[in-house]
Amino acid sequence: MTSSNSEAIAIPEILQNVFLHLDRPSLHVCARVSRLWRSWSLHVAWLVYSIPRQDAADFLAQRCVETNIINGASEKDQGTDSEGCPLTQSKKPSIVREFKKQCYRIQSLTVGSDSHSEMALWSDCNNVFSNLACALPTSLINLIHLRFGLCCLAHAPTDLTIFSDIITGLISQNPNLQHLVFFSHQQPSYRVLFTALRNNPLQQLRRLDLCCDLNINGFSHLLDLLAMRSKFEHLEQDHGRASELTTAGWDLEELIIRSSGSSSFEQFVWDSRNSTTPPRPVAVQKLTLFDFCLAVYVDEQGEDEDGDESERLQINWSVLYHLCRRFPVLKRLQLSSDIPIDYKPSSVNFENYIYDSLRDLDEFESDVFWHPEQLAMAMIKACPKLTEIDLSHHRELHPEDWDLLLQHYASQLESLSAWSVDQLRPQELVRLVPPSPMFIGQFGGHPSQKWIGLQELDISANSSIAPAIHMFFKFVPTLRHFKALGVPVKAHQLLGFDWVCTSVETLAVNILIPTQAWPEREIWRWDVAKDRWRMIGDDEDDHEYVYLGMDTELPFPQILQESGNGGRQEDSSSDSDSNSDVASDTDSETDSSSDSDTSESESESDTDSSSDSEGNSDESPASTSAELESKGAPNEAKSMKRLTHSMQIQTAICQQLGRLTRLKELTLEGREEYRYDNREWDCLHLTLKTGLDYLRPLQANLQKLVVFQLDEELCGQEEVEWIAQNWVHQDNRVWQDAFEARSGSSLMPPRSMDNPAATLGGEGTTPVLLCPQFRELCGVSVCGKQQVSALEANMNVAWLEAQCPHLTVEKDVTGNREVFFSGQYQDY
Amino acid sequence: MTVILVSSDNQDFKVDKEVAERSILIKNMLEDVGESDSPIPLPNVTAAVLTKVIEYCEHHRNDPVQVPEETDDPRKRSNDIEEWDMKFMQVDHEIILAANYLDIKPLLDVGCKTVANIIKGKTPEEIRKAFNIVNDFTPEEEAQIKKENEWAEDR
Repeated sequence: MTSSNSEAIAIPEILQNVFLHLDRPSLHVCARVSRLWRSWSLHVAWLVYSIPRQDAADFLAQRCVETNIINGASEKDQGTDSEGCPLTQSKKPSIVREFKKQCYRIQSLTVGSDSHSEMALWSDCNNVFSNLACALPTSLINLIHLRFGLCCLAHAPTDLTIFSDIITGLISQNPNLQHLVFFSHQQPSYRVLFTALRNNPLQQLRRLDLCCDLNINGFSHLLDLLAMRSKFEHLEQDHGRASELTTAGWDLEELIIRSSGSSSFEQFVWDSRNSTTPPRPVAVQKLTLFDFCLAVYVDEQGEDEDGDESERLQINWSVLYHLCRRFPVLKRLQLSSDIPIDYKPSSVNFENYIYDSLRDLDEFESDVFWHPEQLAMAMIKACPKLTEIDLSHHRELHPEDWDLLLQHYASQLESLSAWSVDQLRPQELVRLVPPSPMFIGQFGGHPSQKWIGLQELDISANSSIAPAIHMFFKFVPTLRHFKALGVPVKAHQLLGFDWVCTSVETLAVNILIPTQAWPEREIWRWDVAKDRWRMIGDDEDDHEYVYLGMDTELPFPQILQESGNGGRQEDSSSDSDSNSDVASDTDSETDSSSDSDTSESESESDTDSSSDSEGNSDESPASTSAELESKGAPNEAKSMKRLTHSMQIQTAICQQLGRLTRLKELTLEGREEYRYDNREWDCLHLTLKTGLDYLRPLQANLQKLVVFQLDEELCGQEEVEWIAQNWVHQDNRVWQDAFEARSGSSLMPPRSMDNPAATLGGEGTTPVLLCPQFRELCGVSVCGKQQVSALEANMNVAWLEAQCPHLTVEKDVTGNREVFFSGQYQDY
Repeated sequence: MTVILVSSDNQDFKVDKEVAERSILIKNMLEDVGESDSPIPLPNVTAAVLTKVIEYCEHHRNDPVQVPEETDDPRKRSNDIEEWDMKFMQVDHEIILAANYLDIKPLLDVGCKTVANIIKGKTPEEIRKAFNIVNDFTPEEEAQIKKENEWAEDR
């Protein structure tokens, strides 16, 4: 080590930064190095501390008649240290003593647990709190974060008392708390917390996270409590403008409520409807209600005796309506289930997962209770500052509501999550898509240039949204996270332009690969008069859309023949393109930004198109097709031609995917031989022949590839070798040299089952320590394909796992893709 | 657009502005100075070290700007260093000082992680030897501390 190392370590802020990367035992070793090291290591060691539930009594209570440190748990109970490692009983007194001595350093404290299994275990420990009194260390006063997850034994009043004393004491002793997480399944517990909050100002509190049953009145009481703390003032505005509320004083930034129970929302709606005073606003900027249940409406509405339907459409029965009125400065609104968090990629597709999880709610799927636009207008009026919206699986909003909401919030919206929302149509969703740059340039500007820019969009499980997907790839460069699981988008809609969303880090998309060059036109055009995208054919007078017979097969798109580069072409969304020149609804201005036509082509014979294919196409299938045809085997020729077309489209898509070098997580879906709309579709196969090599640039940042719902062929020998070469060992010179030396070509010598995992470099060589980006390959099929048997597939994947020890490979052994219920893919 | 950085031994380095602004110090300087061709002096960084720092910034020029994660735990992991970064840090630990001075947080984090990995598994004496640290505890203090923390060190 050079002297510069000691110089660097001698700087306290660097030393602290080093210590933040060490675990507690290492920190205690560092505490014995020198006085300076001791000071900083103990500071860091005690920043975060966790008291397991079974030890809570030892740390935070004492027996009423004894003053010595007691052991509140049974002898069988081993307990754990702050890192979760088991400790012997002999050490516990030392730990507790040390805790009470050092606890003034603690900034982040966890008491108990927030796991359900832990709570179940706790209930087995009878009378743990009996004969105990709260005895918090008096120096435990510097907490910034507190997670409190104790479950009290409600049937024992003494337990409730000490539980109440502990949480009350922790809150009152720590006025600088910024984050408070409270977890309990016992009903009275929330009252204890509310009392503590009422009696202690907690001026620094920024985030309140509750997971408890709020019972009937709990939610209303909570809002009243928060409203008491909220201070608003009216900003002075220019003359004629309405005053704006802003917060002054206690500023709780985030409120999270989980498992509140439907009864509390029912009562909240009832209280709100019957209140004679205006709702008291709450100064919260981010509101999250997990497990939000729609069923409350049906229970509460009842039926008017006269059967008057208009009585059933008053929006003041809506929880959403009343929530918005109570939170006027909201920036983030999340009222949905936490299903996406629980869902792990598997052979169960996302749509089925939602269906099974929320089956009971879906009986209300077709029921939308309010008049169109009423709820949206109320939301916009009440919460004008929203920048993040999550209304997934909501059934309250009409398409008109979505249109109003997205139109209003488009300029400021950063995040929209609307998975499984059946009333959101493409026409509404494209409100979030600005007009094309060509149009903006032609007309000297557009308000969308000042948009904040959408960064996150999740529209999974909304198959009807599919026609709008490609517009985001084309015109929204700010996207960083885009999810459209179960929403099949036609590949040729994604070609003909360079995808602009090159900053995307998370991408989940379902791509249908056409097997023929079907006639397709762009379905969107910019309506200057209405200042929005409009689907061609929406207007009865619109004759632009031409229907062609399904049997008509046009030759391969000209652009793909010529460019061979993914079909990139300049944005031809100007008036000069005769195919896009359309008269607007008003007379004076013409629509200038109709999208480029991806498949408009001269009529040629089918034979000519196959033989003229160039660019990325594999010549073999094309020439084979011509040969077959000449031999009088038209069906085989047709089949080969479709294969050629599919391969070329797949390659073009891979070229575009390869440009997304910031991708960290990529999920691809699609099925081969998929019959839909009287057409047969293919999917991305991710083989070297279909463009896999174009994904090489993803080596920069790609961490995870999920292909559970894709009929891929990554298990081939060439493909697994490619992954190892280009996504794992790309900077490993030793491995690369050994790979070249052993193989001499892309083909490895056959590997036997006896030693399928022989590491390159031979035995005895020291493996190079690697930390590549690419860590997870999820869902690679090992059931065997046409070219690769199941045995070979398993061998190849085993080789990959052996060569890439840091790579977690999750195999899909199911074989058959799960089918969603019928009617999933609507005709569009 | 390029900027000129001047090391402590008066060597000039022409660097893309985008790369140079990976250093928050340089970025703030450029904002203060505005559009100017004036070289930026870095009196605390030698040419040798600056070369390495620029190499790091070039390699990571397309990385997104790090946003602090909202978490209750300020502690960090040390087992997620990229391969390239690991090899990079083996060369010279003066880079840590430079990263601290230039306010390049990702580079500083990589350096500190590397040092943390060196510390793990060592005894106090081995740590002192590795970093040339003088033991300033009295024998009585040392015995007392060892006794107090024995329970914490044993795993």
